[in-house]
Amino acid sequence: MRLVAFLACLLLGLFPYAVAASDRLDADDLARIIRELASFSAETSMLLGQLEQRAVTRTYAEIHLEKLKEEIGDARHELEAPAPDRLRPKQAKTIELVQALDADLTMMKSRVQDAAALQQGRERAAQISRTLAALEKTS
Amino acid sequence: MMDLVLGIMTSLGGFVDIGELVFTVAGGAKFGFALLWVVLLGTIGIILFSEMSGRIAAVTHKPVFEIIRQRLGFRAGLGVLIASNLVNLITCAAEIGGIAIVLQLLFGLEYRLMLLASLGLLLSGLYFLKFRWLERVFGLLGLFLLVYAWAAVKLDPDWAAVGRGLLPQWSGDESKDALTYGYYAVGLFSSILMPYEVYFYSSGGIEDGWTVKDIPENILNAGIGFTLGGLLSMALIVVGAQVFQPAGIEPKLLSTAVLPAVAAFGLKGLLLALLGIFFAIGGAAVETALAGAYDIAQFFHLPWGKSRPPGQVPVFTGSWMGMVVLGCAIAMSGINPITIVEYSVIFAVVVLPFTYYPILQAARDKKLMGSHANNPIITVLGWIYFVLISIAGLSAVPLMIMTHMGDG
Repeated sequence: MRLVAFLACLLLGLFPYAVAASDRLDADDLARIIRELASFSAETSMLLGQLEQRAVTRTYAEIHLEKLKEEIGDARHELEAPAPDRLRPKQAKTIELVQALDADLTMMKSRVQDAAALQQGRERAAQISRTLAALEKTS
Repeated sequence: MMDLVLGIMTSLGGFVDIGELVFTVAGGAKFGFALLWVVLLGTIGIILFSEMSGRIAAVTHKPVFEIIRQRLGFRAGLGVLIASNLVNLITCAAEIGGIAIVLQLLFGLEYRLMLLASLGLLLSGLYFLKFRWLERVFGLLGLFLLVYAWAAVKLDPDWAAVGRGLLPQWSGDESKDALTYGYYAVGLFSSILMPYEVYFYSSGGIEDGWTVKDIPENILNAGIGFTLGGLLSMALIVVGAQVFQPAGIEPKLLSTAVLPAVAAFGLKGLLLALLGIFFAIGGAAVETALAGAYDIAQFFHLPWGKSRPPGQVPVFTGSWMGMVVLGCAIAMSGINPITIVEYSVIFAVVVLPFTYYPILQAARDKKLMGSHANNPIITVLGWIYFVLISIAGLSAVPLMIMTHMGDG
């Protein structure tokens, strides 16, 4: 038990390293952020589809869109860290897509009852998700 | 008979907390059915150790933290008390944050305002409801979560693939994915075996006045209630795999966990899922707050008990109030409750061996337990689980670092 206790303390000592965020973006970080953003876009598309079918309440949709927007904002903040030259084009393209998604989310929050806007928003979010997923796979 | 049925239903309704919701739905979204075996493994473990802790309580009338102090000594026991209560506190914070999010999704009001509403609801519920009613209200209304089991059937998964998921498997091709799979496996295992569950279960047995006559009820509560709870957790993995995996969604928000019920049942699914999550994590918030208070009072041999008037158990009452207020203050910082719960689950796995080792030692001790000591099969199973828990405990933090908390 003493050995287990010692190892447990040692492992907990490593914890600050686990939570420390790097201030530079490497290829793995960028891939992870792109994957997260593709997931948020796909989720936005799913939510807007459910809203079109009136399968969720307006309150739920507005709050969930707000939370997605916050998460996307956090990912965007991470994305803006300095990156090596070879990653910059991919980083710039991702930022461009995130800005489009962010703008869509802002607009959708005020138009959750507009069927045409919901359909357009759903299709755009799905397109952004597909583009991000393809971008993640490029070197 | 009615008490037994209610006890089983309460165990089922109280089985899922925010940690399980997070790791099951996200695990299903990321790895399909490949983590189902972890739920099976974890459920057998929680049945085994809850039954032992309940049996010790029924025979000796000693709760878990008294056993921990006896078996590990004062200094080591104090270390376990501090570590366990830190885990209880951050788990409580995550559950309170989760309750506030559900209220926000239902009523659309500001998050911090909903946190204050959650604080008021929990403090008044804990103060005014008797132990038995607390257990039953939250446990039974948590059964709304069965909407996920219903959704799992409605979404018509490939049942042969579901069956294959009950055996350990790994079909990925990158070592990075294998590490992420390992992180989710450890997180899911830990979320099922969270230490507060046995602290609460054992203390609850004493609150309910269990004696040796209640040992069969203890076996049935733990055995049937937690088995059904394990099936509900499996349903959460199945709906995550059916709804999110094909769409390429990796859930990171509590509000996302509702969407599979919506996909299956529309608006009705949304409301049932929100109510189920509200009562399930509300119950877990109550359990973590009380577990923290039980641990402190039992360790220092102070009077305790939710069934006793608050004035007779001042330290106990102050402790659960403190847990709820501090938990709310942590949630008030604005950190996503999902992030808090990931930390709590990973920290908990490091504490697990120090909780389960004394329970195993006491339950097999013939001098203490007499004819109710473990039979050899239970003891061997207990040791196997102790090894598994220790391996999980040792690998949790490195996996967390290497996988950026499961993000790969």
